[in-house]
Amino acid sequence: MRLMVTSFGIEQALSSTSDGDSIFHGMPPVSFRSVNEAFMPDFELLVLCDQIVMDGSSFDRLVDSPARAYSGVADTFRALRDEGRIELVDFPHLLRSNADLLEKMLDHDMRTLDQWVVPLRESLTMWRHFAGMSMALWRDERQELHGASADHGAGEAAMRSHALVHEIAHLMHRAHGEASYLTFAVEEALDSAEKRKRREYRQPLREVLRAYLAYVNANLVLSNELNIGFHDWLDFTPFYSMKFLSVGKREDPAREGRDQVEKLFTVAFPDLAIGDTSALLKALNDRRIIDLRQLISDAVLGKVEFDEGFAASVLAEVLRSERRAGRARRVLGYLTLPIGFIPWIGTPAQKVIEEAVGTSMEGKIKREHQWFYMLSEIADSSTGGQGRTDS
Amino acid sequence: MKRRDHPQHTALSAIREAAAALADMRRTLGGSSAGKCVLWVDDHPGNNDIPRRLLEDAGASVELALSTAEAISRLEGRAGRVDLVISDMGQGENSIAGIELLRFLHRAGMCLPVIIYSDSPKAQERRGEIENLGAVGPVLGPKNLIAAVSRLL
Repeated sequence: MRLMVTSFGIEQALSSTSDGDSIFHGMPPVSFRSVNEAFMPDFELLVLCDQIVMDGSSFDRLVDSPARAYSGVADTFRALRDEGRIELVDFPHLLRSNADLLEKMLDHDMRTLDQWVVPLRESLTMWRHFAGMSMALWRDERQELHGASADHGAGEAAMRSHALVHEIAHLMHRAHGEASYLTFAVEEALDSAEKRKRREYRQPLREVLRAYLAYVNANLVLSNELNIGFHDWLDFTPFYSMKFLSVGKREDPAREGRDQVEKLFTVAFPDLAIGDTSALLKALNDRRIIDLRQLISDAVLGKVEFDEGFAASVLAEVLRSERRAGRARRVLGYLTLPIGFIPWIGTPAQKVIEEAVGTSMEGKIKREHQWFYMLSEIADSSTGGQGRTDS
Repeated sequence: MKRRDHPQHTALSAIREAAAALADMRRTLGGSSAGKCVLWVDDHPGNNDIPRRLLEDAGASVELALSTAEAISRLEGRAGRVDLVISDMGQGENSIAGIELLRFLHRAGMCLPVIIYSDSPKAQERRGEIENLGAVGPVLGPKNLIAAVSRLL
């Protein structure tokens, strides 16, 4: 699957607004599920993609001078590029050639403001949740700024951290930030239909929605131009769902697949989750990835449900396969025993035949659940071969 | 065709980040200020709209005084019903109005938690005096103010 990965703030290619000093500017989406010492790439989605399509300048910004919070994401994308899995496109150029369309889309969207109230409310809830998860990371960046400033003056680390502070802590240090007032007013407007009728609330709501929808529309147009699905920040999902609903689509197919991978890795087999770049590359370069993707497609179509029952049945079948393979190996050992008596070459020949025939038989027996064996092997290699719960 | 700028004024990242900061301050405040009375002394109260509304949303009642003199007159009447005082440092020509309020409270023996909320250089210079008079500050920015309020209430 080819997939477009969005660049945050890409709609600004058409406007005078700029948040170029924000660490998020031009950055790809990150995982909302886990935030460790830095933002994490969305491995659940990347494992489904053979090829990633990205904006060229955004990619350069990401890999050349990432903020510390983005260092892990940058490593992953660098590795994907080295493997030839990143295709770079000039997004601003595509947007500029569709400027009129984007303007019409935005005007159309803004005509019925109230239809966006629920998506915006849901979006802000998701965002606040993510912000709550990652706030500790942001605080660390701030402390690092103070430390770096004290030690090295305006060093590179301080400059990077300053960009973070400037935008993320916009309100924290400046009481009069326009965005802060807007957001405050919008929070109240979202809670009260009565307030939404009043100009002092409706105007901020319009402004915030305009910013959200300009970005959402830009990604829809890019996706359409490139004729591929796209992956964006999770908190924009409610907007896309509303957009897709109006054209008779339930959900973005890429999002559905991604959600199913997440379910597989959180509900059914958390021990097998792909959680780092090395594991991702191993999976992408393994032929059995096709089996995993087929399983995910089946789940999207509702043929499989990734629950605890699914996990139990897979494990039971795998154990049965293992027993059958063990029995076959033993039988093969008896059958090849006479070869061992041939003088000089007997024992090595017996071993070679056992291995060749045994591997082929085992492959046939374990043909089911190839994806499971692949993920188990990757998980085992990343834990140094220590035993896993599935065995 | 001439390109027309979208009439978009506020960057999306600033909106999202402001939302995150507001949520963080709400979490910090929690229920600490519910039912508490805060006297806020500032000759430009409009500057404090956001932290004031956050306190009110969390259940505090916030009374505004436009000068140290007004604050003193209110405290003399009902000191026992005020749980916390937040004051700026400079008011009009008086660049140490906040210190004068602290001196009054000290002389009057009123043991009230006080936060000096100011980003003025004068307030920074007087940090030692502020602390000696038993107050917290100078506190800079709404996030630090909310953190100080939640500690003191």
